[in-house]
Amino acid sequence: MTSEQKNYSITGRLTLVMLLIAFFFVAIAVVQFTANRGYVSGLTKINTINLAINLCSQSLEALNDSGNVLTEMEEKKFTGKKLDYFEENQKVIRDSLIRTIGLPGISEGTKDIIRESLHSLTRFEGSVALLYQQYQTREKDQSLETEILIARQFSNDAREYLRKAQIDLREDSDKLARQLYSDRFLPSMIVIALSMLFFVFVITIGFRVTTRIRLSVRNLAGATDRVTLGDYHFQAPILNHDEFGVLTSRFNTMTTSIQQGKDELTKNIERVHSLQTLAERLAEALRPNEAMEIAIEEGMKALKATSGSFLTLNSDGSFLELAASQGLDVEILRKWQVIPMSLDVPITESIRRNQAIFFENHEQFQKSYPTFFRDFSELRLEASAMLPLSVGKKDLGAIAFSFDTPREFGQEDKDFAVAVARQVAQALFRTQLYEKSQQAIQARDEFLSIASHELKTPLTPLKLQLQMLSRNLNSDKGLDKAKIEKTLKDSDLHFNRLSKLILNLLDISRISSGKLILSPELVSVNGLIRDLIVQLHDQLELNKVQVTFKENEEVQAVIDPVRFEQVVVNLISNALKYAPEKPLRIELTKNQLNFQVKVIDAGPGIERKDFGRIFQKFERISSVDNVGGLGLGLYITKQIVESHKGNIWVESELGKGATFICELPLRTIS
Amino acid sequence: MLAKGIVFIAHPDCQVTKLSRSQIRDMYFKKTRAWPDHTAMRFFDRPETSQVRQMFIKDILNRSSRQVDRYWIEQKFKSGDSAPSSVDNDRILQDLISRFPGSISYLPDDVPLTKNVKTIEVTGP
Repeated sequence: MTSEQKNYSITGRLTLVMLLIAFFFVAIAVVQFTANRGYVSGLTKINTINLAINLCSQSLEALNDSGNVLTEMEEKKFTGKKLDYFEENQKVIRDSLIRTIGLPGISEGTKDIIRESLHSLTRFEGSVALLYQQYQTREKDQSLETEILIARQFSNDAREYLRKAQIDLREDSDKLARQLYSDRFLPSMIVIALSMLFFVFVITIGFRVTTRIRLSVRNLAGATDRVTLGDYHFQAPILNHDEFGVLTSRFNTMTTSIQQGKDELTKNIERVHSLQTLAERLAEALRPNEAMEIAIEEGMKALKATSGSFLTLNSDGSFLELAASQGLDVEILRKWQVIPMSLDVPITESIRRNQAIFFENHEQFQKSYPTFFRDFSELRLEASAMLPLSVGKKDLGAIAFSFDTPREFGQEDKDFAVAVARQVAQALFRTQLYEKSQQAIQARDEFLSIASHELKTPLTPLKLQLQMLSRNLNSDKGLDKAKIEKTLKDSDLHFNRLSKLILNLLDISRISSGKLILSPELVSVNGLIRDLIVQLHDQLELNKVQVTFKENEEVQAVIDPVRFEQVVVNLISNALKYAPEKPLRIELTKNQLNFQVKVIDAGPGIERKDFGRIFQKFERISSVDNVGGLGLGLYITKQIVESHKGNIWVESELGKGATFICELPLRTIS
Repeated sequence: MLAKGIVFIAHPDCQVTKLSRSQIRDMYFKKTRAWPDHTAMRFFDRPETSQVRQMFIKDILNRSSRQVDRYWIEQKFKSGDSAPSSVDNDRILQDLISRFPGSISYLPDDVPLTKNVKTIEVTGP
């Protein structure tokens, strides 16, 4: 809602209308109250004035009555009794007029006139009193006409004043009535006009509000119908920025939310389906390569990736090897064939941290790995996901997917990718195990074949020797001592070989069952090696191997001398086997904690990839046919070294000989 | 110019010696109610049938008897004023005039006047 749009509140309008209605009624009440109060007081005034008029009229009437006194006097019929009546009458008139003067709302002018009337009355009464005296004391023919006229004059004056007062009062009454009318009329007109205006105003607002409500409700009802029919993408138009606008906006948010939920559900179903497909297909794979191909293919499909690559970790965990890929060009494949774990790239990082790494766009990638991003810009990476593969605590490698457009990885996406990686890791581990078991079976078969051959090999000549000895004993020519000695010596060699083979097999059995027990003691490693070289003199000479033993200092160590001898003999035998007729060098060094024995031959060397393998059971350095053996020597050697808490490894380059390094602690075994 | 056959008399204390016809008219019709010295004015009329009154309404009021009657009937309702009292006897009239300060009336000019009244000269219209 922008600031330009004016908010409209239906409830606000209705509240305003209600307040206006309330205000209107209050205003009407106030106007009516004020007008009525004026009206009532006006009416009271008129009533008072009317009362005054009545009093004046009664007084006039009574005054006429009083006037009869004069007529009676003229006619000489007047008596003292009449005078009493006159006086009572006059008293009534006087009281009435005094009461009239005392009434509220009578104007001062009128009061003055009434006072004048009272004054005339007094003079009238005085005249009558005087007249009465004269009347009583008069001579028979004396005329009282003048006196009567004078009294009548005063009576007339009083009457005239009263009439004037009456007229004034009537005028006042009329004026008040007119005032009342106009006072009532104007407010009434205003009230009517205001009522009409207000009515129009309320009707207009009411009509506008109901129109808005009707349209908004219709709009929302239509939207609800569409959503009910499954159109969750529908967004109801916001007609007005009022409460319905807010409701519509919330409704739209709700439908969007429902749609998102639905999309998420669909996505999750797709993911479950993808995982199911992946699991089914992986279940069919027997070989690691098959599993990797399937993992890449299904993984790309599930994550909608543009490329995928599968990297396996070598046995000692030092480097990653690109085992399978899809969607990457040859140049990149060549460049990324082998990735040392020491290299700081996202894929190695993910394995080291055993945590999936996601980049949503190339800026994120560039920020995290600026050097890598610059050096390998040809990858044209946007979004990418690096997923480490591990089973238990064993790292197997990693699977990486890349995307040619930026994309967001929500928690669900990440969880799904990790779930894919877990499936793949399980499958890889299973296929690797299967392959290993197959190889083990093969090796065992081969071993059995070789072992039976090897065991049989010395037996045949032994049998021949024994037959020869038998023949010699039964021969007529007599015993040939030299021949017998040679036969016995040869037989001894064959026995030795046989016994060695059997000892090796026993060792294997011990190691496998964990029964390789050491008997450590403090020995001189220098002396031990020197004695061995002497013992092996014949064999070395036979193989035409020249041995040099380089010893810088005396090495005393707590080790099992018999087993350590076995280690050195095995390493020397190994050299004799693979590098006959070539010089052999043995070096002995030590530091504060360990000592090292290096056996350096000048043989054909070992490929880097075989560094780990050669120390395994039934493995031989090369499959050269002329080299016999069971492939147990180095395995047994490694087991003995490791049971001394030591380490053995090989350093070599193809064609440049091999160096077997054996490092043992000086005092690990107490 | 003196009204023919009519003489105007007033209370002897009256300061005024001359009156115009219009002033007398106003006095009669109670349009003027006081003398210049603030004394209340009181006009005494004469009987309707008398000759002097006919002369008075003709010469001074310049109206018919009927018009004068109608005037007083109207005034009774309009202002409450009533027509001046009428006095028949010339002697009594003079007696009354002498008794009421501020009073005024008229007589035929042949009636002998007492010393207790003052004559007023009528001058002009």
